[in-house]
Amino acid sequence: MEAEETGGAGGAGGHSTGRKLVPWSSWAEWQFVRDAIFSPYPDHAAALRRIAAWRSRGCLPIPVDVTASLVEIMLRDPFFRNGVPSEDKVESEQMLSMLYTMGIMRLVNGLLENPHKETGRSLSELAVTVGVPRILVDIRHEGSHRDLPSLRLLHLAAIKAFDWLKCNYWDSQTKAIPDTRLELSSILHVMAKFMKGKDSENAKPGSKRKRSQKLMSDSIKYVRRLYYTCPSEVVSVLLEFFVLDAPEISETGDMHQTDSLDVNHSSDVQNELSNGDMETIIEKLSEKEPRVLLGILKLVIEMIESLEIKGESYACLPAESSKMKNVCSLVLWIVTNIKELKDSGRIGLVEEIGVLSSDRNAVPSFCLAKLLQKFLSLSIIGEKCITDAALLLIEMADNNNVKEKLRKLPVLSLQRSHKDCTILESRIISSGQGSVESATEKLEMFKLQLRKSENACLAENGPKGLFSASMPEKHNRWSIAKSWTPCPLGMIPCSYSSTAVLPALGVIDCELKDDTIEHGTFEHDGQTETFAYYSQPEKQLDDVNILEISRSPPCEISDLPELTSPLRGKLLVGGLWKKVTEEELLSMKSNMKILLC
Amino acid sequence: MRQSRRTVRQKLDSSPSPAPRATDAASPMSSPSPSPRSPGSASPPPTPAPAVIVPPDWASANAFISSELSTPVVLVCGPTNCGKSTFSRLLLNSLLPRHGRVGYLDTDVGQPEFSPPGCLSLHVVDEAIADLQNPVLRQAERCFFFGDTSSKRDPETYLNSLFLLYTYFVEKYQCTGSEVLPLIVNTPGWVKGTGFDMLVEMLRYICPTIVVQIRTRRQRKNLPDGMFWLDDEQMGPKVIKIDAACHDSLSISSLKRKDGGGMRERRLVEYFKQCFSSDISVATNKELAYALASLPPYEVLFSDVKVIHLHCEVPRTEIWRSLNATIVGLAISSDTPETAHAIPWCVGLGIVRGIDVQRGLLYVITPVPVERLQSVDLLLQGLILIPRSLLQVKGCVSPYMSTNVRDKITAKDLYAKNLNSPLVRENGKSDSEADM
Repeated sequence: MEAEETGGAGGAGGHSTGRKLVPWSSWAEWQFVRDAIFSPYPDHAAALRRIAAWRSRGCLPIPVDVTASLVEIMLRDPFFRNGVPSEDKVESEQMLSMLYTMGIMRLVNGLLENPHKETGRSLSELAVTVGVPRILVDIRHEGSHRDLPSLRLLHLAAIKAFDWLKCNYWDSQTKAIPDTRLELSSILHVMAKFMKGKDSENAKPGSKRKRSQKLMSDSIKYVRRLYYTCPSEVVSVLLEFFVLDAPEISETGDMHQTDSLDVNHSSDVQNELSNGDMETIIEKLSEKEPRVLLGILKLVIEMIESLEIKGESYACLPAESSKMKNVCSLVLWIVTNIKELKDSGRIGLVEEIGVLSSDRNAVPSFCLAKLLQKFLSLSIIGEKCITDAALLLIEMADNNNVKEKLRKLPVLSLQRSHKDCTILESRIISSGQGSVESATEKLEMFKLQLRKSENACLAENGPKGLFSASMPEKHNRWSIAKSWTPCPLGMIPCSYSSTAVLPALGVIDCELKDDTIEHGTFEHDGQTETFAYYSQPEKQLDDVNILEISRSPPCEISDLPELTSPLRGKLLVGGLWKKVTEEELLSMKSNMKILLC
Repeated sequence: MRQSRRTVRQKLDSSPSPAPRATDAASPMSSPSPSPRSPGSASPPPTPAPAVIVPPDWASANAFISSELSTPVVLVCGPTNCGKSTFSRLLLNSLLPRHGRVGYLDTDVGQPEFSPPGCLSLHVVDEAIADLQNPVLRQAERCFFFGDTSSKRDPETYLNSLFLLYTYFVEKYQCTGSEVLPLIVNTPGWVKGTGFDMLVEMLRYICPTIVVQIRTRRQRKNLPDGMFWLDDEQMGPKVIKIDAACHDSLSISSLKRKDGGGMRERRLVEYFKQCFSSDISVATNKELAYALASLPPYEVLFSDVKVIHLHCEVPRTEIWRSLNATIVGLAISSDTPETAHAIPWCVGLGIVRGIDVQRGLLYVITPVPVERLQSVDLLLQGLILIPRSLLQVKGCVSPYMSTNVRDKITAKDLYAKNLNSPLVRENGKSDSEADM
């Protein structure tokens, strides 16, 4: 890559500065529709549904609009159905002709009307200039001023119009979609080259060193610009550049310093950038853009979660694969850096972000609490790196009360050998079965009591008292969102990393499942926050709510047992960790809600 | 208001009026305080507001109407950009001293006087309008969210809503006898074709006591002479014909349309500024965009609200994709006029700023006070575009603002040779700039 590229915007495939309001939330969504129409295995119905949603947003581009119309007409035209029986076929030639004519008229007018007004040139002249098939312009003319064109002609024209749209809109737009991955990796390679030569560089005369320093800072500037344009993509590409898989290591088995990130330094010869280089780059970048770290941290946590799910086994050391180890040490590295940035004041820890806060690098303190919860809910909490990271977070929060309480949590202070764990594990599980049931019973009792008191309240104060006292939640249909972090309109803040997330917008409904699952950004929240719901995230760290689990009504616990087993799927009942199923947790969760209000 | 602020004076001055110079006949009405203008970073705020000079025929029309003994119902009509809104403001100011309060029926959904775009509303005004050249937001007495910037998509609903507003006014302010208020009806500038038919229906239903017809010099743009809405020689109301303040022979329709779009954006920006208390200064669009992004929104459960699409059918699987980052009207289902096909009264607008499908929560930004909001259970989605300026601020760009969009044939395509794919040509230049 040429050095010049670092400064200027990339050519084809690069980002242009102008932005336009579009009805899709990502190019992936646009590509989904494109593929649903043009791929060898199309799903026209899905494409039409999505385009209907786009249309309702009021800014549907004409080429998409007309493509959808043509697809819809063709689906009902026996000519294109090739004898496939369908219920909503349109048999009337007259009606089909009208439909096609209108579609083609809208295409020609929609595309050429503005240039026509601006230049004063005739439509047919313009059509020749921009390559719109002449037949389409003729059909527009015939259809508006003369006889309705024949269906035979219209079939031909519809195919031409469809092909023109595919070639001139869908294909050309595909080419124009900015390729963040490509841009970023090319710039990273430039930096890699520079960093390779760094050692020898030091010996060189000052002027040359200055030049390369400038190159480096320009590159960082360029990455920052990319980050502003599409933060989530940049973050995920950056993470990809870390060598995390490193399968050779575990196979050869000659690497034992698993705690060190240096593991990967030699592992991937093909890759120009070592993890060390990447760390340097990210450190430099995060000096200017501290939020990059939070973004990467979020992705790494998601990665751990998906590894956990893949692993399925919640044994004591699920982090057996080298990947998990690498990922965990990356977590520690990121948290260490976040702490450093916080200590140097680049990340400000604030109670709440003001509406007009000029400090874009402020992180509200509840985010730390949530992040800590997230760590604690990971089943690999026993892994040393994660434990250390959690301890760092506690230190950052700088709250002695919580610190003390959390230190009591044995998982954070003790490292057990594999053997011990399995023994413990089996003990818990065997002794635990019964008490889960008794806990459920207790819950039921609480519930009953609560109902009784509610009824009593009703009897005393009448319906009004009930309304105001015991059902405040129902009354407030609208409430102000708690613990909000700034994020662009159309996105929502991630529940623990304070980064913006593009939400999955498919309707969740059993009947509709097939329609809604597709690629896109998903937040893996629902499935993994089995423990998080015991605590109320809106409370600040100075609350002991992180340990809410131990204070919640169904389990009366005097002290925490010494344990280092993964917490996932277990519940502290009567002083013992019991294995509980998802269903049991869910039913407890619903009961808990009643109790807490 | 359809004239840009800077041009008003020139236009007024240059109007070759047969009467003596405007300044001789009418006292110059100046707007005392230049209102804080919308903060479009692109358009620098024109600093001193030029004085509005009232042409003599406007002044005498005003004097005539305000000296009416009965309480007048005045309908102001005329083609676009002829000064209907400015005249209505003047009229409102001159009716106020005698009547104390004046009804104002705002029927122009594209450029409403006191409401954000897309609304049909009835106001009862008790305070004179200081700035005669710019519309100012005021709380409506009753409002419908029509959800589009032109009535053309659904004339029936439009007229029904309008009639309901008028009926409401008549029942509340013209029957009881305790307090009878005059009414000003400002109409849209769409006076040809369907627009004309709708104006006729409006006139027949409302039966105003005075019709003010503003005429431009371009005859074919004007409404027909006389009482065009009456079939035979019935006893009609008084018709006052006045000339447009600006004889603008150079009105290019495309230019005006752009103005309308920009003005709508500014009005919406103004509207959502109300989400912040006055001690927070959100001077520029950028500041407002960032403030909106960081403002903790209201959250409401999916199960607590119903979504109604006013102008489109949306498949059930797609409702959240349709709704995310769009403007909605907030309404109360139990508060619907008791007639067929009525849409419920609207309490204000909101932006659906995010949707958490997993938790079943909608995040909504709105200036509607929280007590009022509690009973809102309907979200009306229309086709009012969210202002682009609210979606892009450095570091907080909405995913719906995309770069590298190629969907139009541009000037470059037309002059470049060897084109295979005309939609590709443009590179690096903003499409939105071309739109603005």
